[in-house]
Amino acid sequence: MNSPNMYKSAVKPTWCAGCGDYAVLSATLRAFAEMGWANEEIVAVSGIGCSSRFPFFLKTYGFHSIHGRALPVATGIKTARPELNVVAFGGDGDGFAIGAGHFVHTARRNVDLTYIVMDNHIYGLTKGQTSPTSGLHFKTKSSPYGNVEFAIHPLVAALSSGATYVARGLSSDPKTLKELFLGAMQHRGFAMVDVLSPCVTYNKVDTFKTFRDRSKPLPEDHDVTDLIGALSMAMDDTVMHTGVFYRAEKPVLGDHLEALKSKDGREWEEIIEGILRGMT
Amino acid sequence: MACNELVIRIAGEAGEGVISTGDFLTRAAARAGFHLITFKTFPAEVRGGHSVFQLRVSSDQVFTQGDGIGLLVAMNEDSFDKHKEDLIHGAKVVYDSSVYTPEVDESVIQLIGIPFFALARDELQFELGKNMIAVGALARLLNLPLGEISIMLTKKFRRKGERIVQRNEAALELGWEWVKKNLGDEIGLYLTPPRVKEELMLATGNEAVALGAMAYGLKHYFGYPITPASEIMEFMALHLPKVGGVMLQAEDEIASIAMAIGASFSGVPAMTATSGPGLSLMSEALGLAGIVETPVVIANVQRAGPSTGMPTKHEQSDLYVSMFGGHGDLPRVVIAPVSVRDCFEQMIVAFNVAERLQLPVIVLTDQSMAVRTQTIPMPRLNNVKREERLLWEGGEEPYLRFEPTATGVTPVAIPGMKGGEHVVSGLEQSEEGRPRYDGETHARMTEKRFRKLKEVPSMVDGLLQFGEPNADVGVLTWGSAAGEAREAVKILASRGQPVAGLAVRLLSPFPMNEVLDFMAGKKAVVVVEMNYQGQMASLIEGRQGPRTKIHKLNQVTGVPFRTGEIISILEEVAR
Repeated sequence: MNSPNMYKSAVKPTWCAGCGDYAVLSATLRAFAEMGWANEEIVAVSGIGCSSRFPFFLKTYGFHSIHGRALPVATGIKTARPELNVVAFGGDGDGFAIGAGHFVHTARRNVDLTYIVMDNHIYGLTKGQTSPTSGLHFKTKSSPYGNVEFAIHPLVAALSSGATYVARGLSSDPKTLKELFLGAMQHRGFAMVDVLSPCVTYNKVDTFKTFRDRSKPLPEDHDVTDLIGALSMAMDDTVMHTGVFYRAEKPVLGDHLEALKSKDGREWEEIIEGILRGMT
Repeated sequence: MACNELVIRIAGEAGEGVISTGDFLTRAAARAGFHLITFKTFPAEVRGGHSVFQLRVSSDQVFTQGDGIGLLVAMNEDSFDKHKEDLIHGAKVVYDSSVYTPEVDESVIQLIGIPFFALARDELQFELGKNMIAVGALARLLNLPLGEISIMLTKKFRRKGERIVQRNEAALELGWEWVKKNLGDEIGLYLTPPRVKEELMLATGNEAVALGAMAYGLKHYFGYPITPASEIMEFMALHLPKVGGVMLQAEDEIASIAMAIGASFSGVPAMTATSGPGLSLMSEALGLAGIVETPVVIANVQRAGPSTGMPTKHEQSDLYVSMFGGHGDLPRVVIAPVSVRDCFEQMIVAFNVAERLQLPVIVLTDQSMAVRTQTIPMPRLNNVKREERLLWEGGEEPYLRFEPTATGVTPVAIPGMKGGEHVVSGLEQSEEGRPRYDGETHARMTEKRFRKLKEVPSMVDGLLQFGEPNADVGVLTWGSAAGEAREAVKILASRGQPVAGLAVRLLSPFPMNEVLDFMAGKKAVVVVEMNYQGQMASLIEGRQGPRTKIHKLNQVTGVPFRTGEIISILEEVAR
């Protein structure tokens, strides 16, 4: 088996000591090792945010793009080079605020890629503002009198938009996290893992402890093929369930695009000349 | 009697077959080797309203759709009234004599009455055959090949059954025969066949953009619907899968350019196309392509702005956003084709520049050239020169993605290449692709990215000269306005008035020295562009020599310049 360390770059993570994202990094390295992927066949894509620094810490191809646009960049890569293993990383702000539009459409297209979200319910890189997963009344520098908005349900959005692998994990439980990542990487289709990964510097409410206290594994008899069941579990506001909510086999975007391609064996010059002649 | 060129306008109620009559004549003329430009307007309403098809046909190259009408085909009185003001002296009017008779001064305008409706009803018992009778009659009047039209007719109606084909065929012949019998050959509309019969094809500027990209070898297109650029995406959707390619319709313009950049990062040429509002949305990602040094081509089909503006109307007001849009010091190349044919050619150039220099290239077309149909010489694919991206060939590790070189271009490793793993970022980064915030690195890397632009002038035929270079009066322009300017210069030359002409194709990096050389010593230079601010003129104003006065011809009327307007100002400044 490959060693997790072979996927680790020489760049030291920029995260604060105690940040939940370290566990996501180590679980990712171990999942890569178990997948047995060659370094050069992996492309790590991200947007902007603390967690979006992820690609720098990997010894793979990487694209640290612009805020919110990781998924369309990843879609472009996967569309042009379906044989590559594309993994997108980012935070809740990047994915569910500025990038929300792309998130639902990437799910809808069932692009064959893994999307790992480090969800800390806050904007950390910009030093602590309310995020789309922050709770009501949550106080930050941008909500000094308490947050006036309700939080988004990322898993519900993923499920209702057509994602075919939807899971939630805790960075305090790296062993399970690795299993969830492995499942996502093995899955053919858009696989999203929302990781409750605390920001120890700016969020004193959503901590390792409170995330652990507020969460519990999905019931053992949870049926991962039942979309409605998965949705009701994801919408449960009393407890944040962890584990695999939903898994489905569906054609991926690449299958549809591949099916459209002409297979008549003609050279492209000949095909283009045919198009030109049709325009006389 | 015969003529070398003619501007024909066909007008009628929507649903009267105006557009299809025009299409038949256009294709027949093109197949006979005539050069032509067409222009059409559809009513905004789904039903009712007024349709116009204008066709300028010539035995020589044409640059504009034409100012005045030489032949008006007006199916009803209302259509005649709407267009009579545009008739030139000596124009001819073909009208349906079973419907109305136009009131004109017959010493100036020649009337040609043909009872289209009555013929269809009485001779064929097929009222819908009226259009095909008109096509046959016009083909005879213009001396266009009936056989070609017959072939097109069969192709068009085949799906509707043999009976429909036969009835339309009979209508076509009836029109032809009626003119032959009743009008003879004395009408004077016979078009002189071209001296050199070139193989021509018909394309809109949008189709030419798409074809140019495909001729380069593009296989990955990402787009979002927007008027007047959507036809590029639709063409790609129809044809790219045939060459094993992909057209993906994104959720917005930010996604379409981000997808194109992602595809390009993985190693393939990629593009998107849009219009002003989309380009505005793309400007952040344009900077990303610049700093990660990933080739991408963006075709921007200008329309009237700002904001949503007038989506279906012509304007050349995106010069500033194309040249300067986006934050930071961003190296980019902007190329503006001057005609439909040039759209094809400059797309190939754009990909060559983008791929060789690893940067974003904007191809700036406009509504006028995008939607009109024009004859262009049939492209020869084996003449297409393609430049490819300089790839890393392995060797020394670690691979340095942004290693400085004399040209600024660093060989690129693409995913899948072992040992070439690296990260690119919108952050300023060091040679190996690590974030760096020190001023020294930022200065070094910015200079490296801009160094690549030095090669651009040698790769792009940036200037199109026309007219008499040493004339005391010059016209300076860009984009599709070059067509009207060339025609104005040609007409003035025929009147013994020399004018120097220059159309700037390469807008960024702007060829300032060459443009100043063009203006040097001239008494007056008129800068012609379809925008309010004089966006190109403002780049050069104040830099010209003391003798030269710059005049600006700017309009935001939503339609292209009339050649006469350019002639007037050139005559005025020459005095």
